[in-house]
Amino acid sequence: MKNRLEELRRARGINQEELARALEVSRQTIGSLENGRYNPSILLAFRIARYFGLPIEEIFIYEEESGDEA
Amino acid sequence: MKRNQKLWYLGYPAAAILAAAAVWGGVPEAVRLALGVAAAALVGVCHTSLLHEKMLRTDPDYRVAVLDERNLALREKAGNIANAANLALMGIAAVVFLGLGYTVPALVVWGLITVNPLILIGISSLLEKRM
Repeated sequence: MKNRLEELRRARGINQEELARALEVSRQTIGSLENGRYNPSILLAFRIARYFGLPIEEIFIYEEESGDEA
Repeated sequence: MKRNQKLWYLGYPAAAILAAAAVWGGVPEAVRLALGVAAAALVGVCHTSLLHEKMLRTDPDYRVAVLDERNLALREKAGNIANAANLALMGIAAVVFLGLGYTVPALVVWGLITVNPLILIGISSLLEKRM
């Protein structure tokens, strides 16, 4: 699942460590989220959305995989 | 302090009783050894658990490292792989025991391997009711 996490973080002028501390997760989790290796739980996604003051859909972009289409 | 945290403190007197039984219980040597090992293990587990609970309360970096959802997922996945590896190694150990003529240890290990899926099914049933 793609996301705009890195773009939003850089726009706010904070590094991964600061964002991790604000969200109470590890810096490695932020790194994995940004490069798409890890998808957040719904709780973490809500916390991220609340932190940036945006809806979840504007941060995390869900795309159907071609094999899932009916 | 939560009730289950207080239970860990009971491990210390329990370990003392086991150690006392080992030293003054007049038990056979093998039982004495087993009681001593059990006492040491109990102290180790209780102390580690209490230290873990304390650090969760007082050390924010430790709390993040332990409760971070990605780390939890990693530990769960690693645990599953390690469990499978342990089962395979136990199977190899049972075969080695048989090859060396130790039938009873081989049967014990095979019994543990057989019980493992039953434990998995039981715990899955329990968790299914709670989740």
